[in-house]
Amino acid sequence: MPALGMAQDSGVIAAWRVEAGDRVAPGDVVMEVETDKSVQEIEAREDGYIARLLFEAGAEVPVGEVVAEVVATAEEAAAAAAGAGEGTAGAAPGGEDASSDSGSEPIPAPAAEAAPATEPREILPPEPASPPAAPPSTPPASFPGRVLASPKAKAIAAAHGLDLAGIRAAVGREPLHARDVEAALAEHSTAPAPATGPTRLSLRAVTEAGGWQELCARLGGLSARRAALASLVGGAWRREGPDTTGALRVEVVGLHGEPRLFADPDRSRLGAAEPIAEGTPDLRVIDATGSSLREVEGPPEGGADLWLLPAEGEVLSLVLQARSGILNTAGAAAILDGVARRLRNPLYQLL
Amino acid sequence: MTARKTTRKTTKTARKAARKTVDSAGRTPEQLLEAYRQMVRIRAFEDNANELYLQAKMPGLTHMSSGQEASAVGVCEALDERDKITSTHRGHGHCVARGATFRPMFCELLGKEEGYCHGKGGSMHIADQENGNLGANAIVGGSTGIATGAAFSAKYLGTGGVAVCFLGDGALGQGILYEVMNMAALWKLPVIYACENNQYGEYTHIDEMLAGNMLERARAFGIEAEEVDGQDLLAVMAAADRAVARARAGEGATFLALKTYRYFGHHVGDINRSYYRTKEEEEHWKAERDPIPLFGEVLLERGIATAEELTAIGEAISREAEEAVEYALEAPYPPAEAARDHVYAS
Amino acid sequence: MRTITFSQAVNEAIAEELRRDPTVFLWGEDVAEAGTPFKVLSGLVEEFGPERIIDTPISEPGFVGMAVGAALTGTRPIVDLMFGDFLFLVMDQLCNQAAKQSYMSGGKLKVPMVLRTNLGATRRSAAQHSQSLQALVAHIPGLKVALPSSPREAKGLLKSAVRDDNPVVIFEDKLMYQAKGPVPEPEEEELIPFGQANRLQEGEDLSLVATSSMVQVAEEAAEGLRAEGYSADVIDVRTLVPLDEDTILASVRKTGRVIVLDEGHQSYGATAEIASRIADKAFYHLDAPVTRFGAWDVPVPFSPALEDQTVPDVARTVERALQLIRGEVARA
Repeated sequence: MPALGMAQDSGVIAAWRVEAGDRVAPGDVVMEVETDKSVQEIEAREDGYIARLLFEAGAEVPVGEVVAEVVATAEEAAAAAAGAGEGTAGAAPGGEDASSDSGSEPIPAPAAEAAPATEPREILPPEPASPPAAPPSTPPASFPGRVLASPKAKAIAAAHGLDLAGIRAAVGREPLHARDVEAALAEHSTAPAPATGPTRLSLRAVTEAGGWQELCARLGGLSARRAALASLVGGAWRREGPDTTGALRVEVVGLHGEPRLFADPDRSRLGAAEPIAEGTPDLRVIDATGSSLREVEGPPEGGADLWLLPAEGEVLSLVLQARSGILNTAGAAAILDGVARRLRNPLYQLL
Repeated sequence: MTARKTTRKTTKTARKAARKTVDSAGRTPEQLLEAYRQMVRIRAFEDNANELYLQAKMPGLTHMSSGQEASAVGVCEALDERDKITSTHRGHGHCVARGATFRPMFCELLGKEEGYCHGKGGSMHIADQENGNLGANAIVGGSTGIATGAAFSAKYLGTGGVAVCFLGDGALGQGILYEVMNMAALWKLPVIYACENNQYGEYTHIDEMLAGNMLERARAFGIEAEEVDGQDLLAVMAAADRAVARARAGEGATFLALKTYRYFGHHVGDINRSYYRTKEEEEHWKAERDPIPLFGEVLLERGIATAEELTAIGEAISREAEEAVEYALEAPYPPAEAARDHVYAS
Repeated sequence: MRTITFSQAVNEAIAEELRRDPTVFLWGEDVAEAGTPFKVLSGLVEEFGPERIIDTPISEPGFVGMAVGAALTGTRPIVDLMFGDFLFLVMDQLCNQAAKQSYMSGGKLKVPMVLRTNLGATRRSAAQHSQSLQALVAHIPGLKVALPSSPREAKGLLKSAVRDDNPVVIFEDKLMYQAKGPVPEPEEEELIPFGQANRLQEGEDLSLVATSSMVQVAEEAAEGLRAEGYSADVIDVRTLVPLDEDTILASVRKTGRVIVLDEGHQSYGATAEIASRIADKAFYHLDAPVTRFGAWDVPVPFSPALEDQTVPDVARTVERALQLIRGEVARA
């Protein structure tokens, strides 16, 4: 993503003018980029074939990020398109003797065999047309697709839904440290809510599934299971969450079917809490364990949503999302940990 | 099977040797009979352990002391409850001679919870501290320091106790032995170095490993040293009695060179031994020098027991051993989490 | 509190334990009239006699092995191993015998003995009298390892070691024997428990986790950082085994940055173990790479021109700390 303005962090890809496999030459327009000021056409600077487009139209891309890869030959472009997971550089035939390991007949080389192994080349921003004195302050990414940041910086960014690439673009260096993310966070919270939506928090945890599954088997019916889930989650919320005035309301819902709302479910025997008719939940629990979902993203529907995702192997995934102001990171982490612990050993709280 | 050996004809020389032995320190007929039983117990234990290993029912490896019963029993019969022993990798005999019982011993060999060490030591590390056995040791010469230190603390605490360090001829090659013999002599410690010279260190004859005379090594420190026929129970007992008396009287350490023989290989898997010793040599020791029938003859001649009684002793002990093996085979293993226990004393 | 030397503190600890418990005795080379080459034990034989302060021949495996046997049978030996380097001579007795008795016997036997020895370079003693071998013994389950960093620590940890039912190896820094520090009066008996690290200074920007002689380096480095406007937690590990992981992790979780210091060789050393636990258990709190400072991986050289640089020092610690705090650590 080229830097097109002095204080530009990112650009939105308004449209692609090319697709994978297309031949491009210097001067060909490859995409349109929308900044806060205008839409501009971006030209290729290399001769070659488009191997992959790395972002879809509409994506907001930090300045400096690679948006597409160009390779020397159409074959390489096709290979890159075919083996998405294999990367591009390694897919090029060339230096390796294909027969050396297997002892089989040499594979006939493609027509372009004379071509040396070709590194994908980045589409680099054009030289700034207007004020030539302002070179982009953004360093090239050390590892494409990865922002180097300390574990702590990453943890803070993840908790606040902040994009590290954007922060890297803003501070102009790597690796990022906690203070860089905290500074971005401070800026975020004082700035008006950006178009991407309200600041929110999303934490993910995994825990052993065995204890919860055992309990479900014991409880039998769906109602008892929903009630038990409300009790366990409610217990964690009451212990770790914000103070509630009046009853603690937990709503439990599957992907299909009616939500059930419970008041103070943690004060009932496991599986015995009775649903109530109406009220605003403090927390929604979405039990997606029977579904094929593996990840969830996006803003919470309520103030705080807790997703139970299907067990993979022995492990159950939990995702807690909350809107800004409902929970802070530490509080959310404590709740999530409490839920994880209770699911791992549902009888723990009875001891 | 051990009992049958007692009825086997022993040669004239062997009988004469047994008769020639001086009587030992006024032991009662019952005590002598018990010493005989102890030797038979060791033999029975080893025969069963060997079977367990060959049938692949026993994990790990083990070292048989069959043939060396008289040195273990003769020395331990001279001890009382104040005294300590340390043992070697070839240590089942010492353990039995000191009073250990079959069930926890077999359980230990099989790695079971009820073993003397809850299955954590195995054949090479059986310890039975209630009977004053500080443990077998899988490092050759590894317990020489421990035994000498136990003698030091007996003297320091004034318990009147004696420490016996069983070692094999192989341990004569270890430097620490001479360091601790030096201190034992300097400080007149009540320690007995009972060197069971079975003539082979693993797969090599002692003549290829030992320079000079082993007795002179001890004497160089001023330690009393004597050579004893390790197949003659009464001779071993008498020598051990003298050594214990010296130790208790504050006269210091004794080195006993107990010449003996192991019937099996270095360990149970050492089956083909022709490259280091002959079948004829093994047969000679088994036929002419087996300590159990030799001492059985003494008991018969003195009218302490009849041949039938000795046979009955052998059969009773065989049954006892077999019952213990059955028990141990059925006994539970320790729980897996026990692997983290006892790293530190609590 | 009065001020006494490290050496006096050790001497007092031994004397008090000898007075308290008649089963305690001490042996080693030149421990009686000579009072060791460092004169740490001077005067003890006059009070307790040659029956309890015992000069041995120069036979390290022998007297360590005998101490194991004595400890198994009702006494509590304190063994003086003149130089830490001599640990290599006694490895079988310490690691195969002492360390494993409790375990191999299923808990029936115990070895309440203390092996006092020392560590530390920069005494111009060259490669066989200068090593810091604590990691070597800390690697062996069944041994406990204590590293006092001051006179007070020396006394409190040694007294605890004598009363412990396990074999304890206690490393005294031989450069510290004449160092003075506050120590409680003899009548105020202080036992410093094993497995509790000591936070000496509290700060926000960095954790300095150190053992023995390196605690002083850490404290001075913290001073240096203060001059630059930063503050550091300084943690004296006290015992490598048992290791107080909680205190270390809590500090690193707070500061997000850490330097671990120990005078043993850097590779496979104590710093590596501590750093690994931090990386493992405080990963998401780390804001900078975990740094380790140990001795260079060279035999300790004799020449002063060569020797001093091989052990961690204050200047390099401060320099690195500032890089960590300021985010100036070059990326890999």
